[in-house]
Amino acid sequence: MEWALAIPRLQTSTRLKDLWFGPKGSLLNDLKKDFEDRFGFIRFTRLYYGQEFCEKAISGKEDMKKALYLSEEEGMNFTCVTPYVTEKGLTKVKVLLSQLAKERPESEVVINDWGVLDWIIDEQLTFTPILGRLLNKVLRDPRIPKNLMNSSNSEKTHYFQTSCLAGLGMKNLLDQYSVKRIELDHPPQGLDPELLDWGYQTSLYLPFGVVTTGRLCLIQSWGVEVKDKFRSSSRCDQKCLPYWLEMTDLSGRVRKNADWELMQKGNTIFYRLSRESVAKAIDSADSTGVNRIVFQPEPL
Amino acid sequence: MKILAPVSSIHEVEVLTSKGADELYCGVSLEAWENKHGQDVWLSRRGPGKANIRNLDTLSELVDKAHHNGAKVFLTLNQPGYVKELATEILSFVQEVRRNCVVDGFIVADPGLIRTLKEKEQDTVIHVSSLAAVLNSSSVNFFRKLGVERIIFPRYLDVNTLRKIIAVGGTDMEYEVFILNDGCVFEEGYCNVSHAYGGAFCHNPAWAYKLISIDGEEVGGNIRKARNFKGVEESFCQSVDEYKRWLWVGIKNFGGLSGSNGYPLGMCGLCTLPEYEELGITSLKIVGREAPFRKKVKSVELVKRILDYVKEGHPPEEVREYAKNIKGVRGLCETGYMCYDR
Repeated sequence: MEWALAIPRLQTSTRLKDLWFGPKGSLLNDLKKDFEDRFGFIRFTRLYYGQEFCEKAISGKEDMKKALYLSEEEGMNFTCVTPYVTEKGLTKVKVLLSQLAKERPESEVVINDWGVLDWIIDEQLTFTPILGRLLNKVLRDPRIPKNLMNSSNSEKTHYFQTSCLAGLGMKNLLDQYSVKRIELDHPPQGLDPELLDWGYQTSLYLPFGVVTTGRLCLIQSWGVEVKDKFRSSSRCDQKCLPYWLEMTDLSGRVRKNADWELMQKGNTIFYRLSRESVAKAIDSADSTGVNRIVFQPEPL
Repeated sequence: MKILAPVSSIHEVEVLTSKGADELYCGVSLEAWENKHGQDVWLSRRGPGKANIRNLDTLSELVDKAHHNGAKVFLTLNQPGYVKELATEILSFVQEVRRNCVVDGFIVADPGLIRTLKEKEQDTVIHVSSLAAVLNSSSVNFFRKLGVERIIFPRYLDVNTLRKIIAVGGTDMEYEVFILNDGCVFEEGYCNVSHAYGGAFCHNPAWAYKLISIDGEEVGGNIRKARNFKGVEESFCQSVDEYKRWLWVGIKNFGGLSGSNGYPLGMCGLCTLPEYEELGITSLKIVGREAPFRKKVKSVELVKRILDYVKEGHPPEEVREYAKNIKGVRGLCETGYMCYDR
């Protein structure tokens, strides 16, 4: 199993090693203990760097250079992560990847927008394209009925565990774009036991899964004038960096669950798997042929 | 620019086309499909029930009637992705539809399905659904290579962004934008939930938010106490209250009420019609296959009135004034909470 450490931005990376040492009693700390009990010393051999969810937070060239330097210093391979983008974000991604092509042309690039994939191939860049988890349409609905969760014998459960990426049409299309690896969350209904048959190498993100993401942002709108609230075009002062929003449904439609917590950060809602669920996810990764764990202490 | 209206019954065609709909779109939910797959595996983004037509004979009649009235009909197959196990069934479904009637195009989001359809049914016209989240010009190019005829832009792309996309993406492609009814809090194409499990995840539950600092501590409502963000006076609780107000006005269509002139409330792009005209937008989409018939009719009527006004050559500011007057809820319009152009 390959272990990758994912950081969305550079601030965190100044304490790259500390990321593996959360406060005592924290989930992070517990996970470290569990992983090491199971696998022995964990050595991250790859750095995932960059934004998956927000084009306003795409890194500048200089920060990426620092991240590259950091990965080199730590002896890690480099994967640049990109989000879904409007035209403005596309320009930023082009600048960033053009720079990366000069500095580290053999890098991997995680792609969460069909346009970015198309541009990389059109420009004949030598990156290894990876299909990001946002382009993998496996259902990740915390409301999914209990009878569809983790019952691997059910045909219906299997339907919700699999994805359009497993289909021939998509497989042929991704072959055309030289995509050999796809990224996965661990959904409430579990990974597809027949994941290997999809025909890709696979990476599993832990401990956060993505419920939904968008360009209108609750926390960005905090404190701005009404005319600028909930607008994709509004300026962002990145209030999401220091805060999480813990979410509870007062109507009871989305029940509390011991397996995960629902949280919003910036423009995206995540479920954070519990310690026990992460352990199950690792078991499941082992048995389904996942060959990379992407450990992501903070997703955004 | 054409007006594209939702339709879910043959009885709606006559009135919608007579009121000004040039194009119609619909979905099909076959009884056999429902029996086989249950109530939570949907053929399109809208589930079994009043949003869909129940059989191919009715679809065929509907298409004939629409064509007789000069309107085209597009069929939705717009799930963001169809799993491998459904691929053969979907292809057979499309082939059966095409044997039964002359649907003018299919609305599809899944690139794998588009590729398959263009390979197996080469003359099929494909409109790329907003669920494919075409947000930039490179994405237009990606789908152009798959042979599609139209791009349906997702909500909330402002005019400047659309202008740039179209300038690079090319004017030989058809483009469609949302013009009326129904918003989404998140980017629909990147939303991993199913409406089958209790509707929209973003606003149907009554979400309460607790602000937690990155170090795991619960923070009070005043951001200035929490961290020194200059100029932020609004407390977090006030901000959430305002968010809920926006949800009510913009996303939940003011509880489904109408304005004083009987026109629907909720998301709207009418003030941007002059710019859409200038950009060469092909079609204006009214959302809501599942909406009551009256709402569909009033929606078409409203768009037609403003579009006719644009065609008379009035300057953009006059068009916006006219649109607000006709819509009949100037106060709500002034909040900007109902604007697709955001």
